[in-house]
Amino acid sequence: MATREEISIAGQAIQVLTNCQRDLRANAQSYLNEIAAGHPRLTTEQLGAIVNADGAAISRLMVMMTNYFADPTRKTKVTNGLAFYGITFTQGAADHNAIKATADAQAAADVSSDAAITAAANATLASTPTIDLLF
Amino acid sequence: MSFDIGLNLRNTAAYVTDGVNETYYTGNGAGEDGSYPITRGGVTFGYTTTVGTDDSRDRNNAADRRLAGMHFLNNTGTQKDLRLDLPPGTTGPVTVHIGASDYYNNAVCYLVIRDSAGALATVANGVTVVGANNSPFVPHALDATGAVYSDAAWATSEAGISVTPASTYLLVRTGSSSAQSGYTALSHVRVVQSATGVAATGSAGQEEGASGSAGESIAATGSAGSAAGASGAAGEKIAATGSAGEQEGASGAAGEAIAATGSAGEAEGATGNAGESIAATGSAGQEEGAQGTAGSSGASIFGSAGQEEGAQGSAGEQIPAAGAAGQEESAQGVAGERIAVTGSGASAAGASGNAGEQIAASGSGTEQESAAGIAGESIAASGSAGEVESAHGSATQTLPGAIRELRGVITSRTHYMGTITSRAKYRGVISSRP
Repeated sequence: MATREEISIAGQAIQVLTNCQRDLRANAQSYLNEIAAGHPRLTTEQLGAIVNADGAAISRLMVMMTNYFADPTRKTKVTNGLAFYGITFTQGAADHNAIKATADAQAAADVSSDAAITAAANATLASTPTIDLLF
Repeated sequence: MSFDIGLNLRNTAAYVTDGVNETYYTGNGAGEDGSYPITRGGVTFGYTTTVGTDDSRDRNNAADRRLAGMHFLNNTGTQKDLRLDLPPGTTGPVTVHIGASDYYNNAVCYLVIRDSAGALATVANGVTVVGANNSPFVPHALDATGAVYSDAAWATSEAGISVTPASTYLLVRTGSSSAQSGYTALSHVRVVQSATGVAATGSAGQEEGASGSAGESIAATGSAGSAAGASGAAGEKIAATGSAGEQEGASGAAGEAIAATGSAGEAEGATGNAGESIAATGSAGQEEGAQGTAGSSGASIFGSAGQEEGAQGSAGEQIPAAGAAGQEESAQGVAGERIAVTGSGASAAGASGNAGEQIAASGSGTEQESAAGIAGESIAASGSAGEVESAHGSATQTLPGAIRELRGVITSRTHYMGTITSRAKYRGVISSRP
């Protein structure tokens, strides 16, 4: 039986993955909207920098999770907590890795033109499943 | 590195258009952005707790975009932290700007800037910020210094405060720590770091390279030949610029800065002023001239033609120094934050100092130099033969790892620049010591 702490840790991990998945998609759509609207706020260069920075920021969060759960005790806790939710650690790790791969690709994407940014945003959308949110 | 991150707090994303380096945060109530981590605009942020609900408002989209909305928290004694992750590699001080305003209503603000270790600065502790519904019926906003302006004046007059986070993120803690009246409002947070750390480039030969870190950092660039260049600004920084030949130039500004200018040949010059600053000017040939003025500094240094050097300092945090003809140098300083220096013979330079924020140095031999500093905020430096010079400075607030290396610059002279908590100190060629 998972303890309250274990359930809480797993809940936080799920929340981080959920937020990052949501933000990857929302941000990608906002890049496309900015371009479609004719750059009302950001130049191509400014937008491109944000595209890369957003990817890098989410990648860092994934690395933080990896580092945190590299500790065997913590891994055991999150594994037990995830089990409470009916999720295996392997499933959680797969979600984590998918998000990180997308974030890494976005962080390194060519953003030198609107076409390149559009391609990067579409790639992010394609590799990031939609996630249903309560709110 | 440098960065500029702005976060505008409101309820609706599209309510106003954010600036280039800004994004918005709609809070973590139902239907809002949610809690940390939110990643947008290249920044990761969010409240770390879910205290308070339905606490985001759009107020006036005709107002400054940064004050158009706000988040609030009743001052019940339960606080709420807004976390803002700093870009990777951030070191040294950052400047935090705050806009705390509720366009219509009076807010009673409790705001503290924190890092993982605790409080870095208290912005407000029960400061009332008047809204437009209350006399004098003009909306007001509070800035990071705790000053309250009308919204219009805030836009042009708000100032940031400098903090040095130990963690990779900052927290803005909102709300009172015990039950108090009213609520805390927060509209805008901006974190800026400019000319952070030390940028240094140098290469082989007689180039110079230098590195330091932010805050009391040293920024330096050097280029080919014997040139040395460095620039920095603000705080206790050291700024310096240099150019070709064996010139040296340095300029600093503000606070305890060191300002220095040098010119062609082997001349050195430095001028300093204000506060504890040091100013010096030098001229061509091998002459040296230096003068210090004002504040606690009171360093007065005179050098003359040839390789003579002479220096004198006076009271307060003065630096007394004396130098003699030929290539000798001798200098002594006493007391307080003094600098004591002794040198002798040939091109040798020697110095020793102790206590307080002293700088101690000793050197000998032809073109060799060696210097060592101890204690407190001391600066330790060591140099070696030939045209090589190296200096290492370390101090409580200064130069952790700040290393300025000089190679091939003026063979028989020692250059040292360091910054100490309560003053900036500059030591020029051989005898120029403020």
